Amino acid sequence: MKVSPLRPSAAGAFAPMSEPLLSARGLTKHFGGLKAVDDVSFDVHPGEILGIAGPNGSGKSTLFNIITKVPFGPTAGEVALDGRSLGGLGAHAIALSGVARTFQRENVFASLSAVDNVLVAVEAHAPKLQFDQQVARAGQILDLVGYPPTMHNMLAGGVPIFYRKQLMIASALALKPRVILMDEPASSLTGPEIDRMRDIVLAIRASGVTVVLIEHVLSLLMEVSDRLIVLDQGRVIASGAPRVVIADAKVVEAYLGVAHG
Amino acid sequence: MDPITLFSIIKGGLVLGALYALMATGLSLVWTTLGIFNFAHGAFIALGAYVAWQFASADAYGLPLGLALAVTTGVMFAIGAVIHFLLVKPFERRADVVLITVITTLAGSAILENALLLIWGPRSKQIPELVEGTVAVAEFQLAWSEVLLLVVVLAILIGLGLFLRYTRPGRSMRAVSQNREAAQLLGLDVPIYFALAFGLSAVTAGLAGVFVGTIRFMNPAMGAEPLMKALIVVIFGGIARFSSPIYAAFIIGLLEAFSIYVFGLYWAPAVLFLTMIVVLLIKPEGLFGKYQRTL
Repeated sequence: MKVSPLRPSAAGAFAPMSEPLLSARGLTKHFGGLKAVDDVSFDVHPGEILGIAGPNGSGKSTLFNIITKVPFGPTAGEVALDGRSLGGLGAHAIALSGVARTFQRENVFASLSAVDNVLVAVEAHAPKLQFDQQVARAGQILDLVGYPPTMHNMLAGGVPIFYRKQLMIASALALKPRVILMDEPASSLTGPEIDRMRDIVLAIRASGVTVVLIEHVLSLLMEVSDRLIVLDQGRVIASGAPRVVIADAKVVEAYLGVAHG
Repeated sequence: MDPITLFSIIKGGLVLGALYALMATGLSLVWTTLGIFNFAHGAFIALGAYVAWQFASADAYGLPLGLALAVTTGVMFAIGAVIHFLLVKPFERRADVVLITVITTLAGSAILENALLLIWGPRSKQIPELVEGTVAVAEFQLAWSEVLLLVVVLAILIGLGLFLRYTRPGRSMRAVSQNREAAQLLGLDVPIYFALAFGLSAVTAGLAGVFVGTIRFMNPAMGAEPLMKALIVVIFGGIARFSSPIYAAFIIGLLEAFSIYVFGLYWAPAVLFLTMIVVLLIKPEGLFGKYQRTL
């Protein structure tokens, strides 16, 4: 089915002409009485970096969870990739159809070697490819994210945190996704590492993959995002150009609380 | 102790160890991959023995033993996968999955054992020896069937280890066992790999059953005692690596053989449990264990 594109919001300076690559309509997730995500709609256009901000508990990660159906799908709402609904697909089929995701924590296969971590994804995506070509592709992707070649055979659980994040991103990219959902790639990184992470995010976009980025490190988010949406208590409270959104009174209030006096 | 007695104790211990290794590896394969304990594993042991008997025995179909083993392998794999989809998969997403599957696999075990009783009746059966004759070096006697058992079990375990390490489904299975959610996000259809683990586990149990069926008389409850030993092995050795239960199995096998000689048949299980308790007191994660479970 075709999903009609959203009209760009009044605040949005970014008004793309292209059809959206990923579009969400009315996404909602209830946990008992709690609405973790409440009627969220947005479009992501090809080649774009869409930033998602919001205070802790505003539903950002839950949004990624219900898009990828890991570990659960939405209570209501619809996600479409290139106009095709993902509703009927299981989690692994969504991953193979072109929506990749990374976690805030470095989610790797700890007792598999670094290259095997990526190989698992290459093999899932291209099972018919010759083995040596699969290994070569895993190597290329590790190079793309800047993972050191000397550490390919180390166990993933034993490498430092930044490298584990690189591995997780490389594994996601090994699916050759159309869009990658990155959940706080800069969390628990040092300043110089955050700079390297910014370069990785930009390199991913330059390689033709569209990015949706959740990030608490606002400098990074502001620097790379073409557009920004802000969630609070499960709802979209602002969306548009990053500089405009971040100055929005509702956003300031969500982050800092209501101004008194 | 004279050398011949010592030799026969060690021989007996190695044979027991090999059987325990096969059973424990299957048990830990399911535990590491799915995070549940399969109490139907003992029934799989009996089922494997009966299926092999049906195809190999002169009283039944009388097929060549190699062919019967191949058929048994196929049947066990299918049964294992089916049991997973019926007894485990429906409860996978529940928080109390470990407890629920204790009940469902126990139920499955009871159903399987009674099905065996219905189909094959209560009369004890025995599978013909895989090969006959003995080999003697000086005064030390060794039956060819024992040599074959050791060789075949080691070949199966090495094959399984290589499968997990160097093949695509093996690598994917390890990925699924280490991180279910990350594996899903990398496009792996998790239930398929769970079924694969269950199927392989059932195959190892079934083949262990075939060997037990050549050594002892078969009855539908014949898997209960080996399951208990496999459980001791898994707890004693830990499951940090694929090889941990295998080492532990040979230690337990040899320990059992020596305890039977020294303390007698009735005290041997007590010695095993005592050893297990001491190991758990000193090293709760198992002799070769680490705190996390991995494959």
